[in-house]
Amino acid sequence: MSTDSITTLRQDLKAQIISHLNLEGRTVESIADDMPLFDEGLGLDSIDVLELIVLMDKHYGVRIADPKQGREVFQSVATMADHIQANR
Amino acid sequence: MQRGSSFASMEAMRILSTTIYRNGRFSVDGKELARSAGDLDHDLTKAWTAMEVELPRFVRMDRSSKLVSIAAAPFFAADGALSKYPKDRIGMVIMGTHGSMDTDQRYLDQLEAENHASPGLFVYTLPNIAMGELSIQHGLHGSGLCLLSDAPDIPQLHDACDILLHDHDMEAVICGWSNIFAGSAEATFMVVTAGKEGNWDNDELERIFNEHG
Amino acid sequence: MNTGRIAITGMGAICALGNDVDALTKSLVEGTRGIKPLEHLDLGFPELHFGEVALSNAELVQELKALLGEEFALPLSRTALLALFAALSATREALDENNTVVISASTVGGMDLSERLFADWKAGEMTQARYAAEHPVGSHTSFVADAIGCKAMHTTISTACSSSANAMILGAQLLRTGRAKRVLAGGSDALCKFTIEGFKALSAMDTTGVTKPFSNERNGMNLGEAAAYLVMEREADALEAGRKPLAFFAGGANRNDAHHQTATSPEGNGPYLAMRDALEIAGLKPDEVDHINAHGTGTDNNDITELAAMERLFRKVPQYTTTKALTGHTLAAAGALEAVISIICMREGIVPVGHATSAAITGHTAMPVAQTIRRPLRNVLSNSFGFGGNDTAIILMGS
Repeated sequence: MSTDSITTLRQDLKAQIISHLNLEGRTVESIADDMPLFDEGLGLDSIDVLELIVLMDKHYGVRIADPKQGREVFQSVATMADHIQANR
Repeated sequence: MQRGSSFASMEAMRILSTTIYRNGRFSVDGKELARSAGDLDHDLTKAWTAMEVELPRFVRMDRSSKLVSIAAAPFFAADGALSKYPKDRIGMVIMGTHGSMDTDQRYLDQLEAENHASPGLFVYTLPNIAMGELSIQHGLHGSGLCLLSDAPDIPQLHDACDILLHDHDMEAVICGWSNIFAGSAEATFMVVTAGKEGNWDNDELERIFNEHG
Repeated sequence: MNTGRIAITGMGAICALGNDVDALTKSLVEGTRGIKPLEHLDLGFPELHFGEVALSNAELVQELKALLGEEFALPLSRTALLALFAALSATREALDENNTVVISASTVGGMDLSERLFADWKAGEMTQARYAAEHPVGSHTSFVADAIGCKAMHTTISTACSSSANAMILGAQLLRTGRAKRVLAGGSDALCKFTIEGFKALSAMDTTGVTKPFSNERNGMNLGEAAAYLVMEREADALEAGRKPLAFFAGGANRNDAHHQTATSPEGNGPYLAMRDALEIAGLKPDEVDHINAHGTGTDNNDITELAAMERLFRKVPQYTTTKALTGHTLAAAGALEAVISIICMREGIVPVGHATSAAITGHTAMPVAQTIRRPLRNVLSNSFGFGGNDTAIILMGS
């Protein structure tokens, strides 16, 4: 995949995360590609993992069967993008 | 020894502080803290901003939890009515008519429209979740009761506070009416404690809780 | 002033294991299991298993018409129908209507009905709009109060899965403080799409069939439906009226976990505090507890945190079981239903098996009972933990 489309995918993901998870006041620019999504970074929790699983399935057709797998995949926007590319 | 085996209404109850959110106006003990006249989401945000509390989670909550967070915020300020009470001795009794109906509707709308349920919305489709948010925010381990009623039932609130204070060993109780319905919200919250000099007046409270001005 | 013990002098229940207390008793004694795919409710979800009540709404209506007569305006909501059925069963003998307080609990309320009519309402077809009056969580309580002729106070509690356990605690407090002479406490929740979709979205449902609580294989819960009510009064009043206590409500405590909306803290703080304080209120030491009816939903988080809390509180964890493997998780009705089940267990001298596991959850030692045990029980500690960190433990004692 080209660098351009990787960048687009990551930017799209950031926008979708903000709108899907209702992160009012957050901008796409404020989310770095490898910023931790959970705990110290964006502060997401276990219910957000489930919402992101839905997002992945709905927007990218990528299914995550086991929520426990979710924590690894959703570590950062970069890992999410990688997973989508590998499984789309 | 069995606790709570004596009649509980021996001691009087004292209301330390009262907050009221109504028609976009938020006040504590008669002093206005915020006033807004937009839509409900806008008004709630305005009131919360006036509280000057750092809580990233606030924007993610449902309206009911936001309302309860706002109504109780002044009590937890540095000089607030609850500032000196231990976190495991603060109880809660919240009463309302419509429970989580506002969020129930959003949940159902989303389910119909997108054919899948939102886990984040589903969590909020319970009347007591707002109490949970407050407990998490402030680390409160006390006893909590969530009651449903067509209108503020002052005698019932009196009994519930009395029971929490005398039988459940709570030192202070957050006692409130909180209701969101059809895009409008109202909340009347109090901090109630036990004490020799009571000031709980049913008639006065009927007036305060039912005012729609 | 010591008001003495709080006696339970009546009980009624309807759930997947039986439509009344006698049928429920038979099922528990015989080891019947109540979890299977839906048979009566047309909700879909053929791949999931539930603790469904074995009566359709039409059948419930028929039974209730026989009990209440044709003039009584029955509700349409299944939650309310189940509630009426169980409440009438609990109060078979004449009640003192003027002095019986009704405290009921629910999370679903009339949602089972509203979700069926929702599409019409959104399209603007309000022909059945009057049924919106059944939607509020408290409306079923009014039907129950009317049916039993209650003229005293009635109220509704809604604190998720701990609701009806909290109803019993409030009932006991009203009795102890002389604010009520008799209390009918309990709850009702019917299965509906709203709830099933929600728990599915939370990945909380067991997808392999029947739940396997307190095991390493646990995969989630089975939802159930039920209604259960208990008549509570001061022992002295019961004896004076010639009513023999079935059991005693020795006490209960409600504490908040203050950690997360749907997950319990790893140390099980809320559960620990609730159990610890309930025991203190009941005047029992941990090593005097004969049996625990665990909350045991079979979810990853609940079972391990409940176990952690039990191991913190008890030097040696008592025998415990989860009847949710037999009835499903009946949400707001669970506290009252499992109180009824606990009383039956004390009466029959049995500890029923929920799910038999061959190994404890990794890192822990205490396992639930592996087969139905017959032994005398003096008391049962029953746990009900709800979303919002609302954790309740109650203690029933034999009569």
